[in-house]
Amino acid sequence: MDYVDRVLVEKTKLGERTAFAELVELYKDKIFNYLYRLTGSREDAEDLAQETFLRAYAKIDTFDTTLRFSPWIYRIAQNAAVDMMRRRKPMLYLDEPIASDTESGIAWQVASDCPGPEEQVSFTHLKSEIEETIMQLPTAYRAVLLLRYTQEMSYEDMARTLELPVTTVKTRLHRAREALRIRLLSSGVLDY
Amino acid sequence: MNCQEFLHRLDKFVEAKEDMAPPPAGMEHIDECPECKGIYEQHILLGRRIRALPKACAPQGLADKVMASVPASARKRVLGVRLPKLQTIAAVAAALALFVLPLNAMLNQERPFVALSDSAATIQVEGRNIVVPSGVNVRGDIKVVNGHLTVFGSVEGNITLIRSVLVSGPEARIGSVYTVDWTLWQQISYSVTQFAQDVRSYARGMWR
Repeated sequence: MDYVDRVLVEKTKLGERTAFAELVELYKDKIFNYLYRLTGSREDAEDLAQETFLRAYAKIDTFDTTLRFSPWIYRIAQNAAVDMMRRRKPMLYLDEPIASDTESGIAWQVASDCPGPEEQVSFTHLKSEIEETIMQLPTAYRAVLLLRYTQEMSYEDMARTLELPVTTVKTRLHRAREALRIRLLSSGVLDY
Repeated sequence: MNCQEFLHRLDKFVEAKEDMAPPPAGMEHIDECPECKGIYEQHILLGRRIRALPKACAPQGLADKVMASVPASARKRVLGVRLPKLQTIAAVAAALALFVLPLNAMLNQERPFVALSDSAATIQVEGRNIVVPSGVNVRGDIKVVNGHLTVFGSVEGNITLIRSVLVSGPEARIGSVYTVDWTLWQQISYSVTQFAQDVRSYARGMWR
């Protein structure tokens, strides 16, 4: 996959639109799925996915082909989502440090500053409890959970995507899981 | 290991399980502590539950929309970026053709050449051999191209040797010696310097 990506990126750099079209084809579902899980909205995810690919195309000349393409495109998607959330709700920053990351104990943030699913999601199917609860988590927690478990990323790629040290990624992932666990316990989805 | 220590390292245990790595030391705690075991298993379960979430596929036509928004003139864009480079290359090539190569050819010519700024001095020239005899004082500079300069007398100015050899006698007195090696850059540097000097001399002459 890395090799294919690299070849397609090189061809795109040389001006081959068809190569970029292949890249879009390869990544459209992954990027859309990530953005959908991150925003909870298919409409937003579609807009952001388009924006992601257009940004990627505009910046393709700056991409270092010795690195993996996947974290790069996810980072663009992540930044596009951050920009959108900033425009809509200035208090929600994906790249904002979470206070509890620096604390030694396990902690989580209340979801009161997150937009509720009803406010922003156009449902196309009935969401499961776990999906609902993930949407209530702070977006920074949501991002690590999604990258790790739905995108199957390594810690190193997650670190590159989120532009964080690997240790911070691991800590944040653990706290995100714990926050999710506590919420699911309190809603009775998980048993003690 | 007690519960506090286990929970403090819980992420390591979960990570090892997810990565199918050997369990870290301390894992045996869950065999004797059902509560910690429950928390550990819930963490593992959550990872699996998130993994099992249905994949949302991109809507049909997303790729087409993207490609419709990508500048159609991709080739033009590339040309737009590269054209200046091509122009630069062409300009450098032209400069080489017009300036450097003729200069190189000129400087590499085999014809020996000597120039004296002191025309009153009496020197001997025979073929490639130029000799400043004993007792002769050259008050200016000497420039030799493709020659063999032997100095027995004195040269008050500078000697410039271009692909030339200098031999000086025991009584010789010489100012500075400037040797031009035949790297391309030195040829260019020398030519530019000479050109600047010529222009300066010409300008002084005009001013007077």
